[in-house]
Parts: sequence; C-alpha cells; structure tokens
Amino acid sequence: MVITELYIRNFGKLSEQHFYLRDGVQVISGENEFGKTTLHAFIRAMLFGMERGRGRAAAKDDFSRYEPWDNPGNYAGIMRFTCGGRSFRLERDFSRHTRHTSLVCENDGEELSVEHGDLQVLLGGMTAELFDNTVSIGQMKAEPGQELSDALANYAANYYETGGGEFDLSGVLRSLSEKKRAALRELRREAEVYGAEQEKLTQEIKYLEEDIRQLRMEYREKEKELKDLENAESREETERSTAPHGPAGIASRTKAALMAVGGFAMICMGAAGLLQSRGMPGGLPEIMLALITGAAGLAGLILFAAGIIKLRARTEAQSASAERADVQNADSDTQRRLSWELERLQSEWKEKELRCGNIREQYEEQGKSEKQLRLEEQCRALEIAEERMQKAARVTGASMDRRVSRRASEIFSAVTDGRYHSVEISRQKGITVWDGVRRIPVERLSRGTIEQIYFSVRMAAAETLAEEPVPIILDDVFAFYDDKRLESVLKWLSRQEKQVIIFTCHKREERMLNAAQGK
Amino acid sequence: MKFIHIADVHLGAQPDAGPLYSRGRSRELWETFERVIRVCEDEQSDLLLIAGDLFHRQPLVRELREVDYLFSELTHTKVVLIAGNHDYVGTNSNYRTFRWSENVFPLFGEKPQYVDFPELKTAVYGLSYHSREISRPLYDGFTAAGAEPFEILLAHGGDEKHIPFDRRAMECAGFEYVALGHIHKPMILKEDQIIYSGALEPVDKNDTGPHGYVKGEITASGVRTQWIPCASREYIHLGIQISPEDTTGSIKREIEKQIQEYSNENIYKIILRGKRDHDVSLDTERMKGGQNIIEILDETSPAYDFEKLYTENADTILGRYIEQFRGCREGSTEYQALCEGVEALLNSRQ
Repeated sequence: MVITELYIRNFGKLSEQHFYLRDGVQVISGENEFGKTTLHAFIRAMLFGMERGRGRAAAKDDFSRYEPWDNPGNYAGIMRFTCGGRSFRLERDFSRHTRHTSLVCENDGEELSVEHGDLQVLLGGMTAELFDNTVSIGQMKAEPGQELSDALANYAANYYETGGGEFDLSGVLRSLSEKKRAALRELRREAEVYGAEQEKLTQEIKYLEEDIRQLRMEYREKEKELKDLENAESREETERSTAPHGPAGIASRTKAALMAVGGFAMICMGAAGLLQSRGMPGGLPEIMLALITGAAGLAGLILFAAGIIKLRARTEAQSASAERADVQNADSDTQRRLSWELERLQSEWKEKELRCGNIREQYEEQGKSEKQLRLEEQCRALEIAEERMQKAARVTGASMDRRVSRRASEIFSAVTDGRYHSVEISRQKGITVWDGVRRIPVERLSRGTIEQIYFSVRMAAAETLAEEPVPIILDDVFAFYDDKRLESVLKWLSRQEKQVIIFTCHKREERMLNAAQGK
Repeated sequence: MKFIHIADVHLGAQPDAGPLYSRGRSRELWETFERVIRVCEDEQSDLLLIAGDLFHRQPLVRELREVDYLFSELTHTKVVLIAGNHDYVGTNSNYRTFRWSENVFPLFGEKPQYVDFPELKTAVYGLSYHSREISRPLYDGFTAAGAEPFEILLAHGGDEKHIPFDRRAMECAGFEYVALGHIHKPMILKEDQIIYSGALEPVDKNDTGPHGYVKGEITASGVRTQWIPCASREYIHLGIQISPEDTTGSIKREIEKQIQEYSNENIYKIILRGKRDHDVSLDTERMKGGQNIIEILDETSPAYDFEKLYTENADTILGRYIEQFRGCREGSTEYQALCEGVEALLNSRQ
C-alpha cells in the first residue's frame, strides 16, 4: 500500500492542505508547530477511522483533540492510495452529525464498502492498534523517573508477551488481581453479615443452654430435697417396722417398776408419766388408763402386768401412729409441691432444649447466600483468568521470539553498521546485545542505541505481523542518532520496498537521504 | 364427605420476603393457616387433612396450644395430621405428649396406622416421620385395608431422602384419595386422586408461583377436587432480557414497569440475562429502588464476538487467551474467566 495524496479539509490546526506522497522513503520536515503530529494523526484517522470516545475519556481522545474549532461541520479529508496495482480514493467526514465514509476504486469507479470491511482487506489485517505498535513509530518514551533501558525492557517484554504490544500485560494482570481483591473484600463483608447472623444464633443457643443449666440445677436441688424427705420418711418407716420392740420395751420397763414398787398408784403414775413424757395429748387415753388401771387394781394383783401392759402398749402404739400420720400429711404436702415443681422444671427445660435444638437446626441450615456463592465464583473465574493469561503470555512470547528475534537482530545489526551482531530479549535476563565478543546489557548502551533496538524490534514485528506492507511512519525518531547511524538506518529503509514517511524538524534527514539517493 | 387438604404450612418459619415484608412474614403464615381453618368452619368440611410439616421445626408447647385452640373451635370438622420431615416426632417431641382436642386425630406412629370415621364412611391412613430423613420407600406396598368405603392416605415425601415412592403403585393401592405433602409446588400426580396441595404459603424464595390448598369431596360416584389459591404473597422470578443498549437506568425502569404489572405485594428475584455492552457496568443495588426485591442476579455477559476477536488477534495474547477457552459453555465459571480476561485485555489497549 502506498499513500499518494492527503487532502485535509479540516483537521486540527490544518485546513485545506494537500500533501502529495510517493513510494519509497521521503521526509516531511517542518519546524515545531508545523503540524507534523496532526498530519500523522490524520493518516491514522483516515486509515482506521476515528471513534468518538464515551464518557470522561472523550474529552481527551483524538476526536476531540483534532476537532476543528472554527469549522466543526467540515471535519473531513481525503486520502488517495494505491494497493495491489489499483488506485483508491478514501473520503471521510468525521463530523458529529454528517459522519460518512466512502471508498472508491478509481480504476473502475467501483464503490467499496468500508462498513463491510473492504478497507480492512486492503490493509491486510492491519488494525489501528497494530499500526500504533509497529509501523507508526515515534520517539521512545520512558515514564518519569524511569530509565530508558528499563522502559525498553518493559516494552520489549510486553511486546513479545502480548504479541505486538497492543495490550499491556502487566496492566491486565494488575486489573485482574485488583478485581479479585475487590471481590474478596466484598466476600469478607458478606461473610461478616452472615457471621453476625450466625453469631446471633450462637448467642441465643448460649443463653438457652445457660437457662437449661440453671433449670437442671434447680431440678437437682429440688430432687435432693424430695429425696431427703423421702429418706426421712423411710427412716421413720423403718422405725415403725421395728415398733413391736417399743411397746415391749415399755412393758419390761413397767414390769421392772412394778416389781420394784409393787403399788398400783405407782403403776398408774408411772404409766401416765411415761405417756406424758412421750408428748401424748392427755385426756381420753389417760382417763381410760386410769379406769383400766383402777379396774386392774380392783381386780387384784392377779390381773397383773402382762394384760394391762399389753393394752396400754397397744394404745401407745395407736397414738404414736396418729402422730406419725400428721407429720406424714405435712410431709406429703411438701412432697407433692416438690414433685409438681420438678415436673414444671422438667417441662420448662425440655421446652428450652427443643427451642435450642430448633435454633441449632437453623444454624446448620443457614448456608451461604447466593451473593457469596456468586462472589466466590467470580474469584475462581478471576484466578483462572490470571493463570491462563500468564500461559497465553508465555505462548505468545515464545512464538514472537521465534518469529521476530532473528529479524530484529538482522535489522539492528544493519542499523548499527555491524557494530552489534544481535539483540536478545528475555523477561528474565532483560535485553542484551552481542557485539561479537561480549554480551552487553542494555543499561550500558547509549540512548541512541536503545532507540535503535526499539526501532529494530518494531520493524521486525511489522514485517512478521502485517500481511500487507503498510507505509512506515517515523515521527521524530532519529533525534538521538548520530550521523553514521542515521545514514545506516536511512540506507536500510531505502532497501525495504516500502513507503516510508519520515516526519522531522531537522534538515539532516532530508539532506542525508538526498545524498544517499544521489540527488 | 367433604375435605380440605393442606400441607407444608411451616408455622414458625421466618422466610426472607424482601425488604418490605420479611418482618411480618412469620405472622402471615399463621394468618393464612387461620384463614383455612375458617374456611373449614364456614363450609362445614368433614375433614381437614394436614399432610405433614405443619411446623417448620420441632413445635413448642405454646405453639401446639395455639394450633389446638384453632382446631378446637371447629364445630364440625375433624382434623387428621401427620408429622413431616421438618416437625418429625423426635425423642423429645411435644407431639409425643401433647393432649389434643377431641376432634383432632394425629397419626404420629412410625408405622402405618389409620383412624376410622364410620359416620363419614371414611378411614384415613398415614404414618409420621420420626427422623429428619427417611430414604426407605415406606409407601410402596402400603395398601388400603378396606376398613371403610372411602379410604384416604395422608403421605409426606416423594424425593430421594424423604420416602421416595412409586406413583404407579400408589395409583393402584386402593386409596380414593392420596393427600400429599413435602413438595412445595402444587402438583397433580393423578387427576382427582394423588395430589400435592403444595405449601399453603411459599416459605422459600424458590417457592415461586401461586400457593393454596385442595378442596375435595368424596361421594359414591367418585372424587372431585379443586385447587384453591390462598397465599397472601407470591415469589416471582423475573427474567429480564438485556441488550447492549441497556444501562442501569433503563433496566431499573424496566424492572419497575414489570413489578407494577405483577403488583408490589409480591416478592421478587430479578435475573438479568443476555448481553450487556462490555463498557457498561450494571449496578444492581441501584436497580432495586424501593421495591420488594430480594435480590438481582446479574447473569449477563459482555457482548463480545469471541470468534471475531480471535480471528483478528490470533497471533497476539488476546487470540492465544481466547484459544484456551475453546468449547467452554456459556454461563460456566470458565466462560466468566474468558469474559474477565478479554475485558481486561481490551481495556489495556494502548
């Protein structure tokens, strides 16, 4: 492809200007502010169109930068070029409202369609990005504070690994990992919300467990109380079951007293006293006793102890059991109260245990939220993306290395007039040049030489990546070249069967080129 | 013999019902249940059949008292219920000890049993869950014993871990009617014979569609049933088709329009599908507005023409990256990785 004419209607600071170009190397020189950069941008805009950016970026994009101030309605131009032996006329109107593109083959007047990719075919697959990274060459730029050699090393590594420098690999990896970090942050936030809910449930479970513990303790206490009561009772029960000894004991004691004193009254008093001392309510039994003892006295000594005592003992036993029943009554009230209490405590704690179980169930059921799952998936996706991006970079880098390196070395050798034999580019070892004796790291090279490596890599890539030779545009590239190197590079360019357009603010390039071409 | 068949009332559940209704949702489940009891009373139904999961978890005594009080007010209707997998009869279950009103007939046994209503010429069969899961097909081979002319099976389950059953066998088991519970979506397995009434109210955000109960009548000439919607709200999944022209604002408007159509009384989950412009990032939080939306799922993918990108960039990292995802399914994690990577690459274009 050879550009033959540029006609700028209105584009940036240029208006109504014609530029006629020819095949081979040519120089467009002019002083600063002449509009070289504008012309360069115009060529790019004609070849690839110019999309208006959206949003904030729009303020700084090419469309806004080159939109004419005075005559924005006539933001347009024409480019003539030849390709495959045929001439074409490409006309573009960039204006916001009358945007239009036409492509006509001037040999037969055939109207081609840019929308349908006819121009792309003529450009042989060259894209705007590829153009920017291969044939359209400006001065190498380093970030502020960055060594040019580092800039070149980064550039070259990226250039290789992305297959032409169209993309910024470290930027890509950075943005992927930033996105992953953001997703992880959100995931943590989400987990906190989830955790807070779980925590609430855990707390509730804890409170319930504490309640249950209390209830159980209370239960045990009451249970013990009840047991004590029951024990007390059963002790009495045992006493009662050994009761026959009681009356019999009394009887023997009475018998002894009787033997000793031998008097009825004494018997009566003794018996009464005995009864009273046992805490018996007086009254009837006493009267009965008196009567009985009286009768016994009357009946004489024959009616001796055994019978009376038997009777008395029976009475005694009877009254003792009545007493016991009373105590027992009071006891069984407490017992009943206690067992109710126990029942209540048990049902209360059982209910709480049930609630506790329900909350535990809820705790276990509470799975991750859908948002969490989605974020987790995004993290996984971003991890896969990172991993495969690196793999893609390795593959691309290896293939670029195979295809570009040798050619870049050839060009570099030609440009340096054989001073260096080859250039080697690797992510690990950085960029080194080989002068036939030593391998010199790029840091030790002059700015001019570094620019020449840059130039060589791009030229080599342009050859390998672009199917159709596209004009090479060199915008102020040679400022740091010494005369000898400049001569070599111009010689090399002249040998390439390509259109080369050199923009410069110096006269040097034109002079030398004229000399080289024998003009 | 007139009956009403409900299931999966899930009293005590606290379903997420969106920002507007979650707070009162638990109460709504009780209200709807009461409403059905009232229907039983108004229509003087003979039987209220509850096919399991009346409660969401182990019922507390006070909850049982509430329910029993409602039952006790029924002047005519008799209630038969079984325990499902949620309110299964555990060792500490209050179901074991609770004393029900006279008109309530729980079938809480682990083994099949039945309750006989000679005055209705009806016998109701059933069994209850005694554990959270039962994977044995307990209903297979379970046939009507012929105790009464009309025989009903009250059953709960139907999936792998909850008494799977053979529908064909059930059809031939001799029951006039099988009142099923467990599956929350109302479903007729056999017309007028084997029916999932569905949950009375939807209790999970995936219980979409209408919910209600079955009203039926068994006469000598056969069974007639009717499904009656009665839930106070519905979960609605709204799929919204996105095109590359859409923005957060335009999608928000579309969601508002659609929700207005379906009424904001319902509970929404929005799923965004289709292709969005790759430069547009959709802010789903902003789309919610003040509407009763539980969540908005963004399933859109950026509108990339991967084939075209690949052929144009075969030798560059972009092409090699796309190449690694050959044959990956749209919507998969891999596909998402593809989109993320391509987006990052295209954004890095210098």
